[in-house]
Parts: sequence; structure tokens; C-alpha cells
Amino acid sequence: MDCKSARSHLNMYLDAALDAPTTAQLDQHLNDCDACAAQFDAETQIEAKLAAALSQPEMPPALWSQLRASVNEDALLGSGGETLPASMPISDTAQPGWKLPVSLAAAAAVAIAVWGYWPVQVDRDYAAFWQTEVPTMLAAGPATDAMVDEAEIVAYLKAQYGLAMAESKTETQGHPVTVDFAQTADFAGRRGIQIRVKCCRRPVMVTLLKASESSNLPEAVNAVVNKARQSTSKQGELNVGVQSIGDYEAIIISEHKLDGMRTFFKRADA
Amino acid sequence: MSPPDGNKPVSRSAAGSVGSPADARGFLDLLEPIRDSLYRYALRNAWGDDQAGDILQEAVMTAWREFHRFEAGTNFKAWMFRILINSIYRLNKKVARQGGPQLDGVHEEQHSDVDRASDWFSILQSPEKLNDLLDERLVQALDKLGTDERQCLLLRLLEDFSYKDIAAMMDIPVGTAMSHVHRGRIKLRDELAALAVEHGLLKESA
Repeated sequence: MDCKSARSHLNMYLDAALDAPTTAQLDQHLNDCDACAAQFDAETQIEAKLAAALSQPEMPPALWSQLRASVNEDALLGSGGETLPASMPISDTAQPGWKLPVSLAAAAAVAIAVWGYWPVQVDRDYAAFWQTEVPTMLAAGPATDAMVDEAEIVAYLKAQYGLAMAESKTETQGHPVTVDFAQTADFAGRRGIQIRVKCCRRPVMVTLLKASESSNLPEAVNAVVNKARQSTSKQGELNVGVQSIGDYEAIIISEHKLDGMRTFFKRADA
Repeated sequence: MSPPDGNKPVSRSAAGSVGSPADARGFLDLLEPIRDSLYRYALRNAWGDDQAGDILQEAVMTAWREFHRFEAGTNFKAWMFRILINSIYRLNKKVARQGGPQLDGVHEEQHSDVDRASDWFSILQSPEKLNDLLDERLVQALDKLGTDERQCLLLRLLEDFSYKDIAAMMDIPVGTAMSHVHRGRIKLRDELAALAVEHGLLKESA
């Protein structure tokens, strides 16, 4: 093989797309010809350098969270996905037996299609909500696709909801608060973000709901939440508090007292 | 209304296009390992800087709704890129209709002589910066290629797709895909040579 012929194979060489006999002939030529060897070497290096330079940046965590939430929301609500409020994702991440029932999802999709809004009344009995369902949620671990990285959670809450969290104990009246995980979840049939933290090492479940949704909770649930808007409400072993943050309400539930949690969330621009 | 059963998958809609939460998990599991590739590709080919997110949102939701057509075991990355490329075409066209920028040529001559002088000054100050500078200019050089050349070259170089896959994704013959990559390489090499001369890495006569 001569130089001209060798260089005509450069492109295929860089693509590793040459057949074995041609590769052998080319290798032979590159062994013998320093000029061609130098050029092929430089081309290979440039190619690698370009690939390396272009192998960044990574997808921002907030964008990935948003894409995931969109898909999960769409899956749960059948064809109704596009008509839902964009900023409130719903997912299938609630604990078993605790998901938005299939029949309700279908009914909701119909309601959205027909009336253009999410139905206010949800056909379900919430009598055992505080006694059984909430303690079960509080004890459960993260769903498989929950966010567990604190930085990712912080970025997500800021991007999606304009929310920030306290960064030191001085902002939470001396109570040490750590973030465990966050996931989209169902709270009494309302879609929200569930953020699980520990305050003084005791689990706390924070559910972030749009104020328009949290003011329309089923009666048995609402009675407690409404009381908690005035001051911490006691339900058996549970303390329930409500914090209003802009267009959202955080429903805070723990067996631990809520003093440190009341000032944990704030508006990111505040 | 039937009794609630959270474990039963959501039934497919009349259009048959929306999967269950379990399908969503399967879809997201396939998507996660290639998310950075998709993001970079959208970023390099979007006409507006802030458009990559919109492009990905559209591409991912389109793919999700078409996911029941995806044959398990086949190349998900190639399937997903094909949808992404269509979304890029569609949204770039929309930007063009709204009087937005045309991609080819708009990136030319972003650096004035003053910038070049300051670039060079910064290299003298800290020679290790040359690598960063080269990296940045490589991206600029890539932006100067034609749309098809850039897309084919990125798919080949960065994503390691076969020419057959690239041809299928771009709806062009295999030979055309190969010549786009070839021409893209030549143009890129010219840009890089000019860059090297500009920074005194090569003699003018080289």
C-alpha cells in the first residue's frame, strides 16, 4: 500500500470500519512510513480529544427529575398527562395499597377531559387515615425511584417549587435536621412531593401540596389539617403541622415535636 | 366504580399509547444510562441555548407514548436518538418560524481580535489553560459544520453508532451518512489547523 492509498482509508480507519485484510495492509504501511504513521496518530488523538471535550456536560439533576416526574405522571393518569398542572408531578411511588386507585385515575382522566379540572371529591373512605395509613407511610423507606441525593433534592425543590431548606441548626431552633429522600407521592388522593427528613434523628414526613389541593382534602383528613393550620394538632402519637410557603402548603407529620420543622422550609428567594 | 386496586396496572387508553407505572419504570430504567448523551446531543443541536430542556421534554414524552412500539431487546439508544432527532428538527423549525436564529453560520466569528489577544495572554499566564481553550474551540469548530455533518459526526464519534444506525435515524442512505462524517472531519481538521496557527502552535507554512 502506498501513502495515497493509505490516506484514502483514514476515515474508515478512524471509524474502525475497515475489513481485516485492508487493516493488515494499512498497518504494514504505517509500520514502514513515519509520515503516515504520524498523521494517523495525530488524527486519532484529535478524534479522542474532540470526543473528550464533547463528553460534557451532564444532564442537570433538576431536568432529569422533571422528565421522570412527567413520565410517571403520564403513566398514572393514562392519557390525561398533558392537561395536568405542569409543576405538580404525580407518580406511582406511594407505598403498596396506598396508591391512587386505578379506577380513580381513570375517573380523574375522564373528569379532566370533560370538565377540565381534577375532581374535588375522591370516592374513598379516609376514616383510618391518621391511625393506620399515615403511620405506615412514616415507617416506609424510599420508593425505588426516589431521590436520595441531598444535592439533587435541593436542586429539584428549588427549580420546581422555588423552595429552600434550612442549612444549619440555628435556622431550626437548634434541632439537627437531615434530609433522607424525596419522592412524588399520594396524600389522601392529592398529588404531592413527599420529603422525608429526620429531626433529632426521628423521622418526619413532609408533604408538599399546592394550596388549592391542600384546601380541598377529604373531610376526615381536612379536619385535622385545618386544625394544624392554627397550631400543632395531636393525632394519637402523631404531631401534625402545616406551614404555608407561597402557593404551597407543607403538611408536616412526626411523632417528634415539630418545633424545629416549622422553620425548615422557606422560599428560595426569601 | 370498581374497588381500588393499586397494584393493577393502569389500563391502556383507547389510543393504546399510555403505559402503566410498571412500564414507566422500565422506560426510565432504559433512559437513565443514556440521559447525559441525550442532553449533550440536544444541547449541541438546539438553536436556542435554553431550548435543550424543551427538546428533551418533547422527545421523552413522545418516546414514552410510543414505548409500546419499542421491541424489547433491540437498540433502545438508537430508537431514542431517532425520536430526539425528530424533536430537534421540529422545535428548530418552530424557532425559525418565529424569526429565531438559523443555525448554520450563526456561530461564526464569535471571538473578536481583542478576545484572541486576551486568550493568548491568559495562556502565557498559565499554560495549562491551553487545554481548556482547545476544548472550547473544538466545540466552536464543531458548531461551524453543516447541520447534517455535525449530527452525523456526533452520532459516530461520541455515541459510537454504526453507519447503518445513523442512516436509519437521519433517514438518509448509508453512503450519505459516511460522506457527512468524512466531510465533517475534514472541515473540523481545517478549523483546528487554523486554531493551531492562530495560537502559534504551528508554523504558517505547515
